[in-house]
Amino acid sequence: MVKILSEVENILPLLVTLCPFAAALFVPAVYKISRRALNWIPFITMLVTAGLVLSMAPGIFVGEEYTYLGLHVTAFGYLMGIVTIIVGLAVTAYSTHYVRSRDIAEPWRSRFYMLMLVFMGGILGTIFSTNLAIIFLFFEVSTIVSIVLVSFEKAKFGTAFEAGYKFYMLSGLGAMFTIISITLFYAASGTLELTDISRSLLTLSPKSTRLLDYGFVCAIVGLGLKAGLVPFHAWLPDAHAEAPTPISAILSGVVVKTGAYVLFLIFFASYGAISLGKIVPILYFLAILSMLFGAFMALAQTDIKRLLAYSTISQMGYIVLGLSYGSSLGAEGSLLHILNHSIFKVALFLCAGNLILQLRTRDIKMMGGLAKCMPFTAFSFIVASLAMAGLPPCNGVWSKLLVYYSGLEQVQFVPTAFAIFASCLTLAYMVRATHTIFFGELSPRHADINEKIDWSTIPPLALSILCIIIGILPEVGLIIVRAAAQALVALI
Amino acid sequence: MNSILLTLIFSGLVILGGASIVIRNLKLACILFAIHSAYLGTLLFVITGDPEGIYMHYLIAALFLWPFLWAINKTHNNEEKPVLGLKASSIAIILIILFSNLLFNWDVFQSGYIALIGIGIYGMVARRDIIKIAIGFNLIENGVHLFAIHLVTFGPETLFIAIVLDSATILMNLLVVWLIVGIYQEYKTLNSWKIARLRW
Repeated sequence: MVKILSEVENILPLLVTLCPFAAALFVPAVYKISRRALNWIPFITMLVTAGLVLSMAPGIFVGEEYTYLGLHVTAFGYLMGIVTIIVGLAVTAYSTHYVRSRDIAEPWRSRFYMLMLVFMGGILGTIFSTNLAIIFLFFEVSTIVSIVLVSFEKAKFGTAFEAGYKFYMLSGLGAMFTIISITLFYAASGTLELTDISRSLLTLSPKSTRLLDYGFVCAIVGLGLKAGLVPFHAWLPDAHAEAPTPISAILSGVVVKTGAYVLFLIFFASYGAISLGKIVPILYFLAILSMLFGAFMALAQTDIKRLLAYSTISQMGYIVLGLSYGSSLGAEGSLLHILNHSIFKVALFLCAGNLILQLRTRDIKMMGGLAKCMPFTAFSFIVASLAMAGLPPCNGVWSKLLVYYSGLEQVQFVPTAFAIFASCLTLAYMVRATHTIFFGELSPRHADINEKIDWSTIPPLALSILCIIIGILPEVGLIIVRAAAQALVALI
Repeated sequence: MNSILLTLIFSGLVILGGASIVIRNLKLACILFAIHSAYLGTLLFVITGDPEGIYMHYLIAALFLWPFLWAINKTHNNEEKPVLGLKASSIAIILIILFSNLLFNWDVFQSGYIALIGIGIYGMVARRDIIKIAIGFNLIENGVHLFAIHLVTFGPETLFIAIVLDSATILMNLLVVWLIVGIYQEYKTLNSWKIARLRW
């Protein structure tokens, strides 16, 4: 019995990764049996996946690592797994309402759910692996599926194909740079397993160091494209704006972070071998540029989804900045920001989805005074906005403080000053958006909107309450974040 | 003798790639690219001794040609006006080949893949037609494949990555055909400079 249990425990990473893929295969069969049950397939799959991920928690907290068939769950990957299941549960629950409201008819409804499940499976595979070959495989799976999903609402928005095309071009180029980077790393270290790379890098020739430097610069371009760092961000606002809202939420909540996940896994694994004096300033520069550019562009937006997309670029700057410090505290701040950003940004996107479904427009100038008729969406949006601006009692304040503090600890005053300035800009654009959408005068056209507690409002409400819980009790998030930061720093 | 043969082999590969970018008849350009891809597959088989190159690159060639020819029939066969004309394009490509040779001191292998990547980038930047941009993208992929073969020793791990890369290329090509047909229906053009309704 004990032997069987230990076998089951070992294959947990494989089960977690395969679960969404297997569920995707069952979608057509479920449609034949019950059309109502079809809507719940992704949510139930995510619940099962969440159960499997949580069952790994006892092992992860005592420092155990799960390895099976090329999959390898470290504490860092586990944190990303937690982020994915939080986002996955919220988004799949929301999509049951979204698909009905958008009148997505068969066979596109089944296809939407299938693609969404494959997308989640691709993301889980990427983050539950430390082998560059396996990471590349799942990366490609999630990229290809996400391009289809971005162009999914082509019938409603003619521009969806344009966004999909831009996404195709840039993610294709990103994949090329990633493969060049993987090749250079393999040529220099002789292994693709990132947890082994640091050991094989102890005896490096100058030629190999040069290869690693080139490899890391290619990784910055290839994975920075995925992470939406400026100047590789061109796909992000278009893809986020044109994709169906649940997909925008997944893109912003998890996908951009998988780029940062792989980039920093490589960064920490090759920390002692790459020329830090040249590489780290590049990372600082990209982080500062992303923070400021994203914030300024968000200030100028009137399309709510583009505003949130640009704010994602800005927030990714914080994540990259904290991790670039290479310190334990910086990693803690960044990883907590990964968790926090996923929670509040998905809440914001789902609120934006509710607004778009009710008002049939994405332009915030056409909105106003909606707090009276959409109280639940207004509450979630305001809480999540406060969290993103880094104001107490919401969760964003702790992660941003940790990033600032680690910057001061590393005597990096300039990036820290820019980060604080970008946070002020975040407050400005979120106050502007919140005021324009929810306060002021209500248009008579919108007077008959009546919001109820249903699957469109429960997920953002739950996420905003989670923002407050982590804001008041940061230890809830820090327990898992500390373990992840330690695992990451241990790679050095 | 050997070096002359190698030079001829790689010249053929690069010239086929360059021609698929320069020629303005899209069907012919696609056929030339398919021949280039199959040629590369055969070359990879000769270099590595593993049939993966042949299987996957013949598959890439076939699964590139039929969907793209179908898309061209649904859209148009004459390429949108490129940034540079035929003469200027040919000179640019010859310059890319010369530059890559000078960069790697006339080493045919290294200058071959750099030239392919360079021509691919040129195709993506200087041609306006989406079909040509897709061909450019595929040329970069082929160049990167050669680069990987050159730099690392062949083994199970690299074979796995090669299969993933080639499969991803096939799927990306099918995807871009879907996008091309959709874009043409919506925008009535395949000129990537005019497909710009989404501005900042």
